[in-house]
Amino acid sequence: MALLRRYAGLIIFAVVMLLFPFFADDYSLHIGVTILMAAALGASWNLLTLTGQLSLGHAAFYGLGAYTAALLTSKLGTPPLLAIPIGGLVAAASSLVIGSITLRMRGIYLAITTLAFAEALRVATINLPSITNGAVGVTVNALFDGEKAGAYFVMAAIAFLIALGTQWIFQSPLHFAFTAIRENQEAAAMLGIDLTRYKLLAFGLSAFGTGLVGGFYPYYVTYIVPDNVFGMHISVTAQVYALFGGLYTVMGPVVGAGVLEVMNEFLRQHLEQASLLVYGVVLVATIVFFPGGIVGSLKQLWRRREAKRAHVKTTESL
Amino acid sequence: MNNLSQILVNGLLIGGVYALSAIGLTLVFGVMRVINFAHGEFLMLGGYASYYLFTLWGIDPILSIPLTILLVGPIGWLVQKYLVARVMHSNHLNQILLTLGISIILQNAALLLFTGDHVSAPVSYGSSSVTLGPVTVGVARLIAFGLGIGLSALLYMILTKTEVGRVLRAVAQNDVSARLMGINVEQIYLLTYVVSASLAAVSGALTSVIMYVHPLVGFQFIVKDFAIVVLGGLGSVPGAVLGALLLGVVESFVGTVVPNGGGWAEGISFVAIIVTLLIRPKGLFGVE
Amino acid sequence: MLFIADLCAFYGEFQALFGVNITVKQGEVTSIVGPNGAGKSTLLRAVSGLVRTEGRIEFEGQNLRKIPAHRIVDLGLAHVPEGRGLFPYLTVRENLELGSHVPRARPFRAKNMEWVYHLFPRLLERERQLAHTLSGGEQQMVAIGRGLMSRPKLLILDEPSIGLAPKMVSVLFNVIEEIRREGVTVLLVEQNVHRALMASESAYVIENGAMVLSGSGSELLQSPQLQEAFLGLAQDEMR
Repeated sequence: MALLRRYAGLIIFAVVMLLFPFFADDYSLHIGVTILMAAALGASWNLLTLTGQLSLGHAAFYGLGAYTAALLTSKLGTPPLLAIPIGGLVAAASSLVIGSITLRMRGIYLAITTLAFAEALRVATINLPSITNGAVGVTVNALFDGEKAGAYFVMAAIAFLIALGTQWIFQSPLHFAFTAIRENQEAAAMLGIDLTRYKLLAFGLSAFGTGLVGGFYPYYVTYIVPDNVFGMHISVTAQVYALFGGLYTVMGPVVGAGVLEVMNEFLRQHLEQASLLVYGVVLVATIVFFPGGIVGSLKQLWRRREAKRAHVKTTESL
Repeated sequence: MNNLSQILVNGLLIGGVYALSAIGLTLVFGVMRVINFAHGEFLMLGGYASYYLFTLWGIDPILSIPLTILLVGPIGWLVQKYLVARVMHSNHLNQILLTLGISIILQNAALLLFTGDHVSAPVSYGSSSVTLGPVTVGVARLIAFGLGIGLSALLYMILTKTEVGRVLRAVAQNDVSARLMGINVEQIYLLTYVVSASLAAVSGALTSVIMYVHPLVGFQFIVKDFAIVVLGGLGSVPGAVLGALLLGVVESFVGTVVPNGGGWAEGISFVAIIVTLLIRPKGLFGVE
Repeated sequence: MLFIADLCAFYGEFQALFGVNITVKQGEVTSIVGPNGAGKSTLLRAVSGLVRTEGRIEFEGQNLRKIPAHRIVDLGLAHVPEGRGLFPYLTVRENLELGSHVPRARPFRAKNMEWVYHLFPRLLERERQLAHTLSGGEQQMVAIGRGLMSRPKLLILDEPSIGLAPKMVSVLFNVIEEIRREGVTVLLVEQNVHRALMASESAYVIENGAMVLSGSGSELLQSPQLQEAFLGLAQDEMR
């Protein structure tokens, strides 16, 4: 029973994901893909944040995943389903490099460095046209000849993999190690937690997930340019979904992505240009009014209700 | 040789403009311990303020600096009073995401109001230049540099020699004790944020003369600002000035010496950040 | 002068004080003693408006709970915090100057500075040095001097003797006596129970956020309950 309850979020997620295409037209499928990408991004970023490492440069891993996959396919003819995981691996490898450089950095320093890292990669991609085609970008064929449902299931698999991985981490000793590092690094080290190992592991897993989503992206839109995949908006998006849904939770980023993307789509249709403005307002309002995000706030509400109920019981028994 | 001194001078001149904005960022960090990701947007707003004052009423951007401050300062006041003040005791993550959200709001509001076009204030002296020995410098750049360094020096004097400067430094070093001295710490935060936004706005006004502004220009500058304050040591005003001059010179060298080097500017910032944090995390100049 | 009744104090959800009653009479030295973590510092922080409180805190008839922290100093109440709370990268002189930041004290800055330098001649020699470069004893002098710079009616000292060499502790208590003779009322929190009670007209003992004993300094010194409560501490001091 407890096991079922623990996996409830994940199971609902899987069922909804699997049933959705049977009721959806192409447009709804497209929204579905957008939500899944957002959810996977948010969940990947959340993984790193679990260890208290604040990245503002996840666009770096997303862009690396996208460029690796797209270049492999366009230059060497690598099949997409192979190129996507390679994109993830390249992103993970790069994260180990940047992760070991930033190992001893805290909070803001890490944030600034990762932000600049993504920017440096964007600039490098533009300025090395012999490898990357520069600002012109890379074109690839769409997955399954543009069959929306196929692309949807590939993205669904990636998102589910990341959610499952997160759930697994939450139940494994890793969760304790990550949380300990986040709460108090010195104390964690004294408990014998290998800081280097766990911090890099979190970096690698988080970047791998992000790289997978990035790798998927070119085959979905058939065309990428540096500003698109290395842009600051990618890093911000990842944070906003995780934060809005609830940091340090498994389903938070998924819920956050669902709510925000639907809202975003609605705004895009009705407000066009102003949609990003409203987006910023939502981000600011969330932090000011619900610092725990949706899932976090619900959990707190739930806990308070439980506490009240427990309180009532004890007073009754007196 | 001539070429070398020209590159050096070009770099120093632009560094003077960077300095103002970077000081603003470092001031907010030093006093409030908040990294303000919305800082670049105040630069952008200052740029537009001076652009419109020039094109609509013909007021010279240099002369309109007080007006620009009067326009942008109150926005800073509102942002601090109603938003940033609420996360002062929160964790870094919430602070960063909040200021990032404010930055997104201001950027997109600017996109709606001013469109995405690049604009600059075409002043009469924009293309005139003076030759000093082996180097030739644009008059506008020279004025911008003079103002940048002059205002930085003025701010430094205020910080070290006046009561309000002492109070600011006291709050930076121990906010609880500052309260016990009868200092209204919230008011000092407000003052700091408004001064910081105003410095960025002045930097933006200068930018609208010697370069151009557009709604996303703040982001370009904030990456540079980060590199500068890391170079100079977070929270240090003299460090920010030195860091700004250094970054200006390095950018100028890379831009001239490396083929197609102009496009690598943000890359330089990244290298500067990484190298500094690896060798001397407290900043290159070792000022507290 | 200072009247505290039914005072409770909170850090977030955590309650640190449970209904404390204390009266400080004008012209006296009053001390509060108790073991580590008993809530002594919290009590002082409550008076200065730094923690959330319930109950009554009145200073010369004014309700301090309604006054923001930065206004309290201007009423004539100076708080020298635990751990000194100096501004480490300001000079000794700048630290002192900030002590007279409030409007009430600003006009008398020069005069008060003279007084502080008279009390602590050592500080005059160190005037231009950064506070963090001073020895522990000197830092404590700066902290007390900074408090006196506002010419307070009531001086609150939080564990001033902590970390000081025995000789410095004697100097410190002499200064406290001198300050009192100049008409400043003193509220003292101390771990050094014996010295504190010797120096005080009245004293209170706090344990676990509540008051357990009160009386004159000399009464408490002879109280068997106190002996029992502080046996460990007293032995520490013997060493």
